[in-house]
Amino acid sequence: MGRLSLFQRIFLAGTLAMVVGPFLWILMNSFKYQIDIYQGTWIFEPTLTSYMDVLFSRRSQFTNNLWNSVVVASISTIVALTLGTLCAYSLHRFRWSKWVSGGILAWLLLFHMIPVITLVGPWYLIFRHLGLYDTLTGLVLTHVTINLPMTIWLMMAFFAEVPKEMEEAAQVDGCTRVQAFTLVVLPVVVPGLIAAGVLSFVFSWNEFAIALNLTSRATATVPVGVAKFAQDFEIQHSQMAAASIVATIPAILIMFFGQRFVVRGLTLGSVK
Amino acid sequence: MAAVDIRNVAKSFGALSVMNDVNLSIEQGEFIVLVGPSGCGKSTLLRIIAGLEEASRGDIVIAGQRVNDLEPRERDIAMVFQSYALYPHMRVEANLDFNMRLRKRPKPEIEASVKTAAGVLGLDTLLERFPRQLSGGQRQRVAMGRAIVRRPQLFLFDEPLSNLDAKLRVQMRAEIRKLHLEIGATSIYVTHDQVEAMTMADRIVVMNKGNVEQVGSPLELYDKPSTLFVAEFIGSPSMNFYRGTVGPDCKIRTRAGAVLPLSPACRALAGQEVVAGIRPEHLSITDEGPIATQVVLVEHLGPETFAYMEGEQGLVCVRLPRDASPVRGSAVRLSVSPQDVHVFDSETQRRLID
Amino acid sequence: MRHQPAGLIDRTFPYWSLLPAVVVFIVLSLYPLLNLLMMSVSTYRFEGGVEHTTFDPMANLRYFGEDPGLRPAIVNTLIFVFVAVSLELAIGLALAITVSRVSRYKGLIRTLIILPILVPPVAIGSMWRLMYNYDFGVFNQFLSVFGLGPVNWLGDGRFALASVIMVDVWHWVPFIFLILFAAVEGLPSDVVEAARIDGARQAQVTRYIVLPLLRPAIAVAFTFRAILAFKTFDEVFLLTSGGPGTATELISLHLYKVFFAQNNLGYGAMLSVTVILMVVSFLLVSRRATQGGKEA
Ligand SMILES: Nc1ncnc2c1ncn2[C@@H]1O[C@H](COP(=O)(O)OP(=O)(O)OP(=O)(O)O)[C@@H](O)[C@H]1O
Ligand SMILES: [Mg+2]
Repeated sequence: MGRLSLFQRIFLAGTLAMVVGPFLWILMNSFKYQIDIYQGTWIFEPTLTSYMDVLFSRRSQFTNNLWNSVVVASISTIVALTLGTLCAYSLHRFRWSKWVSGGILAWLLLFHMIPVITLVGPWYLIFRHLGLYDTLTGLVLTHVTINLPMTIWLMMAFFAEVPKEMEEAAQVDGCTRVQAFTLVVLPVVVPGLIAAGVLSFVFSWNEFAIALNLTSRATATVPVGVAKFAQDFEIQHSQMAAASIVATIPAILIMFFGQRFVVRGLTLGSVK
Repeated sequence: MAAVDIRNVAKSFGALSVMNDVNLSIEQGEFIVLVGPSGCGKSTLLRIIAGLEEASRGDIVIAGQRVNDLEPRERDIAMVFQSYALYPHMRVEANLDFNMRLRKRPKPEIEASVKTAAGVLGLDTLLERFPRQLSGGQRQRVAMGRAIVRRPQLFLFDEPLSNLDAKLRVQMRAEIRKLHLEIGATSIYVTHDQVEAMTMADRIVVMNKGNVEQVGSPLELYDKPSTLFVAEFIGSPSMNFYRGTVGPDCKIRTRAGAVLPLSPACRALAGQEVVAGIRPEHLSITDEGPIATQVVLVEHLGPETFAYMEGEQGLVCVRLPRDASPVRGSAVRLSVSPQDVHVFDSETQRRLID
Repeated sequence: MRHQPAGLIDRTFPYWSLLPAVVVFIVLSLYPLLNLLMMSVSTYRFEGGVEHTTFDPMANLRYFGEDPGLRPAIVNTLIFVFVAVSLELAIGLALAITVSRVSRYKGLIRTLIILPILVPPVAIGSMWRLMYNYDFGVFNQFLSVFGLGPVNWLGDGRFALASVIMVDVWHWVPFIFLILFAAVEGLPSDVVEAARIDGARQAQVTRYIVLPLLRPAIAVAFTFRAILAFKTFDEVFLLTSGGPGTATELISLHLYKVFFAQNNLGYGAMLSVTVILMVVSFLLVSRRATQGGKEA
């Protein structure tokens, strides 16, 4: 399109500075000694002490948190993706009665609107009964539940883009229903799988409210660990900065590779 | 034994009935073309034969076996879609041999079949490409190839040429016909283009609103259309029609006062309301012809010339020799010989005399 | 060459593909929700590790009147959602239109802008807590250059809610931007070109062509964002935990405190049900409003 006016340039530059600035400032502080932070200096001798403390000190649980997060985010993503894709395909492809498909979709929508924190209470009680309280399995189950609606919507949008004839051609060509799905439809919607997977993973990696209440020291995830630095009696500001940076890196890496697909997914979902 | 038998097939989508009672028997090796206006149910019938759609009533019998309850993959058919429906994530070669791989045929057999099909369709150099790297015409060939590689007992085509440009369409038309003569497999071909139907078919099935109007060879349909609908649908430019009443003198008196001659066989029709149809090539300009008109438009096509004339009955199309050049606005009279007038009952719309 | 008839797995495909997700929903969302309804009309007591449940809806209803934190929480949430979402929509829309006109480095700019969505909200909370710090935060450093401040951003009841909203705007503008940017890029270019040939200036193209065409996408972005805004918990938990006093107490924080600090399960459940009804009815009304507008 056309060119930017001066006003638009200033607006854009200002926005970019506002977005990137905090990252740089935090990054800077994560390399400072605590004392340099208190003095608010801009010129200082960089150090990795904070990172060392966060990752390797005796008192810190952060590596444990990282491992828990990796486990929870990966497994819940794989499960949500599998269940969500199958469910989306079934709803899209087979002639379910309006009660079944409409009921499921309405429930997804309603469930999506419910503040998560309201469900944490009941989950807490159920998991205590089942012995899943304070286990990674319990956390995975909740993350799967939360991620399913988005996965199903996204995959339904992608399935709707697959021409019906292609699947029919596969059927005529000798595919069973399952083969038509696995050999023809699924490879075509790989971009959708990536988009849904990335969103699921990032959500699960970042999730805090559930993890805070359903885990304890041994099963805590990264967000809970980060919060801990801010809540300790004596706040460790430099460690808080370093932990924030470390916690952010995986999501950014994943999104960096999946961005293209996520944008397409959002376009499919919102423009229509 | 017929290759395909369609018996009393009816179809409705919910409350909407789109096909009433279709019967059709197709011989081994025949090339059948289903033709009709948009929405008349051609694709639906084809999809019922393929098993992609269930018939609400009636039977489909392929090679003596009732196939109603078989999945598409169990019917041993191949289908070419209008959109080609190539698998975008597979190379051309994988598209071609997908069926044989699913059936776990031995590797040498697969390779040989792909090689033959690719040779016939000129795809040899494209085997390593993905569908998105092909032109529209090449994609069409791959779709054809996918069907012929597997040597099915029945070929189904749903408007396979409508996404091609006019020139390629004519070329592919001839190629498909040639292929059919070589392979000899029974084929059912859907199109809404009556020129395609006329040029390709052993027999044409004209459909209208979910009913079969007429089945016959191209010339039968052209020379003896059994209903007004077929008369109007087959032939381009279309037949000219006149409403009128048959007199005792074996002539039709049209509303506008023209008097058209009829063959003597029409004596029995005296007093009946009819529609008379005359093809453009059967009208000629003569001084004392019964139809008075004025020239409106002249189209020179090269081998022939069509003139459109305004008469009391509306626009009339006349085929003239290539160098004829009637002056626009001039008054001319048209005549026709009795055996070239098709007569239809104005109520039942059926053909009245042969 | 006959194929095998369809096997059991194939014939039951429609069912077993749907079933697992449905089971998850029933066990982990429908059942908990019913559980919540049950809890909301009961009182819970723990005695010696055993829980005692009594059916007593009035007890929980009575808490509504006695809960001093409830009113500020509702008021704060409404202000928070309204102000934050409006700001985010306005800035996100302007940004989407501006970036779509950039000719170079468009992809890079987009990538940079969406960074904040990726940061764990907890990390956002702790980052901004550092930046808002009274003694050495970057904002007060900045003010002191002009001889102003220092301001107690999070500790002063007059500024706390605004500071929290500011963080939310930083976090979520990128989300609105991403949806609307995709929509702007997806606009049919021939329509825009036709308008320019018809003599429209850029501002007019935006006003009469782009904005009306973006309406559906804006409605989607608004709905999505409003849903999320009602749920806001993480950042505020880290920034202020609702303080000072009740200045930034949002409904989700209040719920958390009732459930897990006061351990009042019955009242917490009743409050949860109330919140769910509030959110759902708000969304139904706003949906009606946006759709009504579309027909006009
Ligand atoms: N899945 C469906 N649900 C409801 N109605 C349908 C469905 N498929 C087809 N129809 C209706 O059935 C009728 C016949 O459709 P069909 O596709 O067979 O027409 P066609 O002759 O192939 O037309 P065209 O030349 O346009 O392809 C149409 O009126 C169509 O609207
Ligand atoms: Mg059709």
